[in-house]
Amino acid sequence: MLQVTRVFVATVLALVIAACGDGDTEDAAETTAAPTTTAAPATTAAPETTAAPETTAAPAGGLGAVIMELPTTISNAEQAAEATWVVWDEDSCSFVETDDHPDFYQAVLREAGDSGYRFAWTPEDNVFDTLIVANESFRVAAAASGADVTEFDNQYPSEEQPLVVADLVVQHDPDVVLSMNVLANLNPAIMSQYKEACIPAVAHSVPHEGQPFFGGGEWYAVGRAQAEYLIAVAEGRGWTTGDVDVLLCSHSAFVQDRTSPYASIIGFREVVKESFDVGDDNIHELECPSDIVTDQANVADWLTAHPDTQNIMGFGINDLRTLGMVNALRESGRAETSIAGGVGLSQESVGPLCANDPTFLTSVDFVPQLWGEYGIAIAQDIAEGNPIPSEIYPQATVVDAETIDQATC
Amino acid sequence: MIGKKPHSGGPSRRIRANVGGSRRSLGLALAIVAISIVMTMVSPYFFAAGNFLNVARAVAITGIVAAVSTPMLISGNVDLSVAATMGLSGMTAGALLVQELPVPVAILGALVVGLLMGFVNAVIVVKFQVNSLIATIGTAFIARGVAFLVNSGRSIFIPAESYVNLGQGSALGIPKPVFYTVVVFVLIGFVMRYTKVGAHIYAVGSSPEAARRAGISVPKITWGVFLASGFFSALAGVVLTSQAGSAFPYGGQGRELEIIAAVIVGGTALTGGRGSITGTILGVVLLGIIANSLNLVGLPVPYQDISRGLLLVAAVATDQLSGRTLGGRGVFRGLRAGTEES
Repeated sequence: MLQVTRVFVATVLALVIAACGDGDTEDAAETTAAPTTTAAPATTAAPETTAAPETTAAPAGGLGAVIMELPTTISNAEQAAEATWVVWDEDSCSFVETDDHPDFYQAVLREAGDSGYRFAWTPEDNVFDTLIVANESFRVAAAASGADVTEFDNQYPSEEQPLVVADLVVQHDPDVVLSMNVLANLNPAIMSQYKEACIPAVAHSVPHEGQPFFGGGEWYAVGRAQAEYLIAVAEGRGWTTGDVDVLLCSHSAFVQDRTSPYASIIGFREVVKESFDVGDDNIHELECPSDIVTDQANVADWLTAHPDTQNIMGFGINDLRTLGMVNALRESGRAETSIAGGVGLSQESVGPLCANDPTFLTSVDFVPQLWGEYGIAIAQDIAEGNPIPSEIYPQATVVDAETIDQATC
Repeated sequence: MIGKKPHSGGPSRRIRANVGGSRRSLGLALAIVAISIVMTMVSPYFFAAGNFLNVARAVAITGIVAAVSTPMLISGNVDLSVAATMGLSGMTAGALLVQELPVPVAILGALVVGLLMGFVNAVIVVKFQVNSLIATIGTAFIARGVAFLVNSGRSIFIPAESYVNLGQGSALGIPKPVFYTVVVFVLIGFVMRYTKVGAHIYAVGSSPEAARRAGISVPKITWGVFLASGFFSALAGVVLTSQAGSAFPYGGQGRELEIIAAVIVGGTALTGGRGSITGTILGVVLLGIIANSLNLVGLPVPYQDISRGLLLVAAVATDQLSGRTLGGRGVFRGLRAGTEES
């Protein structure tokens, strides 16, 4: 057995060494344990979809040429007129409202040039599908622009790590921090630390009063957009209000307000009531804890208890939940009389969309692959003293079997 | 191996355990009947073949792991890495399928990963004398971490239709996962009831020292239950991913407590030495029917959690009142008095 022990210990050591080896391949410029700095190898290309207009002149202030321009939800004159704009005020160490702003806002990523700006990005974690993509986009954008961006992992669902990260960021003293802490109860403590250190902080994903908000996704708008898409399909199939039941797959863990992903459920519900005249009695919100099979079981039970349902319009708070719902609809023989949409354009929706699934029809691309480009561009504006809208969202896109990028299939 | 008289006092212990288990099983069966009667009156959709198939499908995966967790607990050990093993093996199968390897190879890969988990757990428990509760909490974290590394934290949409067909759809009108669960229950039930190994598991769980004196190899039994636990947890991971059509690194997360609750409600003692597969089947079905019933009447999920909790407490309290207390054996062995086994 000694031999077995030796093999086990050797295996563990090999894994540790392998893990260390992987870490060495990162292009980190700093060796601090927690953060990962992603400054700049010039060889990394920007994403194809965001190619830079080469002719754009370099703006003043130390930054270099424009690399890419990114449309935002608050980008047209109408929205911009309604929006509150803010600018960083060094004297009060806070963002203050301003009327002196352009007609619309477009996040513009620029070369770092000789600006010397340092930014910090504190993602929720490094394991969730969307965050893996988003964190990589920060690395790509930092490489493309030459920006000095340091990443500090909040290690969701840790309740301690976000506070530790705030300490580390203050020590790091960046020019701007993009703070993605989704535990809203911790934000007052975190943001007060940044204010005390006079570091401009952008709240990401969860809004915080007094800070500009860069939403990963505008959940409410996403829910509305998915409802509009599915209603159009339902009408195309000749469904009428009286023969449709709406199934919403959510989870009680989400705070039920406009600041959380639950806002997509609120938005969806509003649109099906307003535009398709579905009554509350025909809108059913189910508990889906995001384990696909449990979601499926809960939906299957509901279907059993509602055998007279004719047509079903389903919406899941993310693609995982929608897939569980769709599996239940399929198993109950209702695939042909049901339509469903999800959120996130994760693997759970890419597969069905690529396969032209008759039930799982649509998802929403939050473009996490461009969050880095957006985030650094916004940080550059703040550091430059430029006004920005108090709420900024990337342009999310509804994706279906026809519009999905076939390269992802 | 089959039907022979064991070397130890296992059979008498098994007979005593079965008598106690029969009483518990009868109680559980009555509880299931009572709930069914009430639900039939409350919901017109409860007492229907389609609904019972819903329940069967919903508990199939929990059932597979609960089946193998029964001899684990009877032997005086516990494996809290079962859910993480499900996640890791499912991701393994998904990753192999994405590489366009044949379905049998993907399944084999997943099962080998499960066996490996069982092997590591057994090494830690048997050779390093670490309490199984602690050891498997540790390996659960490791397995979950590795599951995330398999595809950099991302889930995997299963591209192979033949793999997905293993878990989705029905055969002879019965959801396919139910067949796997029945086979596993029959297999483990047979081993526990009719083989020397089963008698030895009861004997080891009842008193490792007495079992050792009777010539039973306690380490061999411990190796066996951990390898079986890893293997069948991996099988559950395969069924999970084929049923879901997707492998995700946190697959099965949280199910370990649900599984242990079902086994304990079924009458298996956390202290080891007592329990039955029949009881576990009834425990799994009872919890499944409660969840199904509350879904049918539209009660929110928190009530399901409350029901499970009350049921679990009631089951253990019943044991206490009947004089079968937690006597510092089983998984509490190493925690209370240091490791006893050599």
